Amino acid sequence: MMLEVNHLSIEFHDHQLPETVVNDFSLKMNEGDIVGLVGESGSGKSMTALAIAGLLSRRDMEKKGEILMDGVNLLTCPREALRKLQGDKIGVIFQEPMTSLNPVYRIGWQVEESLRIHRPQMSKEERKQRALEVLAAVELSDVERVYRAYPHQLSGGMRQRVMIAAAMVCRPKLLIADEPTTALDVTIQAQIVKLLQKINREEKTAILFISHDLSLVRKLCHRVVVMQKGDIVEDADIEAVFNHPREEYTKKLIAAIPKCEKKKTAGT
Amino acid sequence: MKYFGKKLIAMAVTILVVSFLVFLAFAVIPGDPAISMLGTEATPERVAALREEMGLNQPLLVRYFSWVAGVLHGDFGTSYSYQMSVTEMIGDKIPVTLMLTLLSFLIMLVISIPLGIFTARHEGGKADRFIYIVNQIIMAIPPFFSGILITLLFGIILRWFTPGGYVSYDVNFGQFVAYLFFPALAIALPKAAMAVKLLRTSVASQVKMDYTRTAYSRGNTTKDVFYRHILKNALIPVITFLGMTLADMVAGSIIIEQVFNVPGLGRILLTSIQNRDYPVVQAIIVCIAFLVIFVNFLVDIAYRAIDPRITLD
Repeated sequence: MMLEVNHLSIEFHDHQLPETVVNDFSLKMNEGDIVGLVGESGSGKSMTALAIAGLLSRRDMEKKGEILMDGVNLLTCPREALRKLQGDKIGVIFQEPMTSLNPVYRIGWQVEESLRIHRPQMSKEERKQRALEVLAAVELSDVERVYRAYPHQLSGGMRQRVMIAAAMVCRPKLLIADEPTTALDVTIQAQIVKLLQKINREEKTAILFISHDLSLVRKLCHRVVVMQKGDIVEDADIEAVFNHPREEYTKKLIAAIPKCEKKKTAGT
Repeated sequence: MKYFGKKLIAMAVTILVVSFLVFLAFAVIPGDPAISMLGTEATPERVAALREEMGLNQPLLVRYFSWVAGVLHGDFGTSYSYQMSVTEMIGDKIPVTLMLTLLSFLIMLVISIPLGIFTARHEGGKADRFIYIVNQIIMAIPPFFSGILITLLFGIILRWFTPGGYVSYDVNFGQFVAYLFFPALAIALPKAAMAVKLLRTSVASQVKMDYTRTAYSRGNTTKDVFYRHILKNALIPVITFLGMTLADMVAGSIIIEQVFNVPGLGRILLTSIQNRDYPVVQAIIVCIAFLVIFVNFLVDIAYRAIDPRITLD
């Protein structure tokens, strides 16, 4: 098992009463799996994703359970061990491509960053070669120009591709995509989903896809975990959830998909 | 190159406008240089004769343009009070004020950048709270008063320098710089306190940015995230402040030169204003205006170097 999350609970302690944002969350993922994590705002899906990415470090927060990545428990391991996984075994892309890249550095520098950290033996030339290769793999054209560009010179869709390229540069086993398409328009959304499918097919990268858009999840994922107010309400194969949703909440989420979209996807 | 051309024209226009305003101000405010030269006892005939000789009876614009023509040839006119060339009079004072300003700026940088980084990295800690309080106090003390305190502490109690013992740069450059260090410290302290506060706030706002999270997600250490990612972004507003401060320091040096008995532009400016010695005042103000504009130009270039979103065109 590549990723195993057992009984994860996250509790905030920054108010008078402790607030549970994730409650007894468990998940298993193998190489090549694409799992969708869906739910409305505040359901705890992003918190879960950030915890798996090792990006929750707030002091006024309590985390229970375990997150095992290749046998290493991310919740209890030393920070050094966690950093070794971040960027190398686990890649992350975020919702906001406009602000997720550092505005003062060139794209090439940012794409190569994980290589500089995790592959110090690579030469400057090799790093550039790999960066150009991965920029081409995310279907950006004129990669030499993109490599030299600054984030503000690229469109939102291009920046999200750059984020994916930067996350994929070390060939991670797991790609966590936290609402990667929410800030993009519909045509670009479809392209990004296709791109994630291609990465999954070619690199065998497992993808944890966080979204509130069930139609996108249906196009991309093999399995779906539905969350509500911090709890898992449904966890099953994608078609099983769509054809026979067990929970009322899931039914409502499916009913919320715009009609024309539903018809089209129902036919496929 | 187009940018530099534009900037040069803008510089020339600004200096023209500033110098004209100074000309206008002296024409409007009461007081007559002829009377201040001859004294109030002088007969009206003598005053009138002197006014004619000095060209004060000519229309304002004519006087202004003949002055501009002179400046273009390096001639700032003749001082009314001392009957000597203004260029000569202020020529040896400019290096003093420049050195004082430059030293103040360097001291401010040396204090504020490391301290700002330190407080930002230890936000909320004991040291941060202590620095915060000291900062508030220093910001509230005007430079002339901190000048007096510095004289008392370093000059009279610790005897690290002799108050009033200014050494000219052509006598001993090392001693000249050593003496100017203390007035420069008085100018730099309140500005450094402001810069520390600004840098700390700026870092705090950058820490919350999405790119910081991205940097962590790639396996960066906290130190690398801070120095490689956050700091460069956080310095952008600080550069604006530093630029404005450098200009302000020239003005600050005018007061501090009095406290420390430094014969720079400030002293000569004050006495010239009192004596209605227009040519000297005009020359000094044009020099200061030039310096301020030049500093702004450097700030623009620094901006471009640090923030790619800003283009010079």
